[in-house]
Amino acid sequence: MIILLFLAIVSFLQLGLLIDYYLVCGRKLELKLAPFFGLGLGFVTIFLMVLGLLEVSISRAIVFGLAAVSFIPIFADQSLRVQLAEEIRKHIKNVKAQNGIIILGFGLFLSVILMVTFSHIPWSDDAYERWIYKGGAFWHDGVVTRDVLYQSEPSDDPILWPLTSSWLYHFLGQASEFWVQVIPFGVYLAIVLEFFRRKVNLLWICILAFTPFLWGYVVSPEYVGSADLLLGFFLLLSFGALLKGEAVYGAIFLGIAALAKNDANPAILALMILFTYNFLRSKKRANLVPLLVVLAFFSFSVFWKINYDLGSRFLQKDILLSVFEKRPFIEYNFYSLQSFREEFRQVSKWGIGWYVIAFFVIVYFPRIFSQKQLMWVFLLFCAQFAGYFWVYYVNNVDQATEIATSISRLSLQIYVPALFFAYMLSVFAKKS
Amino acid sequence: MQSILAKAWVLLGWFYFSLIGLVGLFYVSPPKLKEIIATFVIAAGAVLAIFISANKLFDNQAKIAAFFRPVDEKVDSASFGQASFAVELKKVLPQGAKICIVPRLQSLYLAYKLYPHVPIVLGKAADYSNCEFVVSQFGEILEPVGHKILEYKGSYLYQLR
Repeated sequence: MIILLFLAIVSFLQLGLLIDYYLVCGRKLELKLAPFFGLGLGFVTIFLMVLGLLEVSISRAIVFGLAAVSFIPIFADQSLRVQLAEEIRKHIKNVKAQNGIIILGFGLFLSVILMVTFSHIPWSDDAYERWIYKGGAFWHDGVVTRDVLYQSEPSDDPILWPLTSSWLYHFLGQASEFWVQVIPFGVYLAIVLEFFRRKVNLLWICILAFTPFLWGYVVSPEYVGSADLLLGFFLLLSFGALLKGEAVYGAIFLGIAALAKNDANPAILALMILFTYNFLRSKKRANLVPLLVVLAFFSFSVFWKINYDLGSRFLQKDILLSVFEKRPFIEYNFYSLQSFREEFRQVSKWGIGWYVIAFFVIVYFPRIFSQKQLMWVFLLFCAQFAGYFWVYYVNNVDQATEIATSISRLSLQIYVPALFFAYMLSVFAKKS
Repeated sequence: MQSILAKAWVLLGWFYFSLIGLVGLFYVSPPKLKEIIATFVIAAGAVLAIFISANKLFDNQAKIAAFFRPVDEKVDSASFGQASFAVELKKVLPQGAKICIVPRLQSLYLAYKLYPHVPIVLGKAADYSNCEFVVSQFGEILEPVGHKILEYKGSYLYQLR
């Protein structure tokens, strides 16, 4: 079982590597595990969604076959093979150059998290009503079916998490709510590795890796079955890429984020506006590509929902009559604001992670507007927060209950990219 | 004045007050002190995160011990016996049967385990009119609902027609 599990994870990485090498970065390989993992998850999702649209079912043999085929380029493409060998050598050298005590300490911490995670199964209504339920059903049926999509109400949830778990189940030969926890665990590890890859200061990495609610999400039966950590991961990959000026990656990962959870939609809409503005202003072809990428992802996501008539729980309301008339706008949003204020100071959940973020954002606030990348990502955060406030305003459930059950998860979605943003802000400030 | 301060303390506490204080200090400090304050904030964040995490993980010793149990045993124990109950149910239930589950602790988990059967989790006022089989987790149904065809570790399956 462990070998099959390993093969499944490697298949995500390998597919991500191929997409990155052949489609994104023009046959120039850089070994970046977290983006490969993210691209692999995204590719599997889109691939299975397309098969769903075509009503073509998939079997274990096909999944194994595809995974095997994905390894052929390593043997057939000499340039890829040489670059990969060189990159692996470089990475091993980098790891050896790291302080042994730090590696040992973090390894020990990871082992404990792994043991706690694999001592139980996910245990929440959300998991067995939506995410894990759909994953098991897609695996059993071999294809996305309307019946399963409509099984939970509202049915507008994106299905990256169920589809990637069904891919894993094909490897395992069974739908296992126990072993599927390897994906959130892998996502946590990938988030930490991404901070290492971006050469973030070690103290910042400690803040991230040891944030109680970040690893706590993975080890907690109540949370591990949900998709919020996945969204946080994709937002980190996207915002991190945008901060480094890698617009195409930013577009791809935000596009994939929208396939993981509806919560990413405000950011993707904001990015479309920013890319459009950027293209119209510069008229450069290079600025058109990321716009087209993000448009393609968003259109696919919308087409999927229209095709299956899934709707959107937050837009299909008679806003004027049922919400604006009954709910005082300012009071409701003030209540949401107070809830975030209260959430951010929960030291037992976040350490002082939000304190660190707030400190650096406030003291270097004027610098945000001196760098285009910083300003763009700041605007994306604003869009995300606006989305959260909107959700809390229009939600069917009463506001207090909705906030109590979801504010920690929403905060987690933006915590990881926000920490990276604060770090980058401090770096830009030092440089200038 | 005192009540305003008390209210401000409730709303902001040491967390926001010290943040405001540090930001203020940062603005009026010379560059070298600014660097020290920034490093202090990051170092304090890292130390506190490690300290809280270590404490939390220390509380998880029972779970760490549970890791070494066989997987099936862990799944069954974490699901309160519903994983193995689902296996027994699948042996008995015919394809396409109309199954209802009396709502108890995590009926959704049992429904997930029973796929491709799609049972209906009944509401509080149980209406058995659309059910051929009724599953009752962790206890018998007191009212007469057909005959009992399976009993497994305190959970039951009834056939109505």
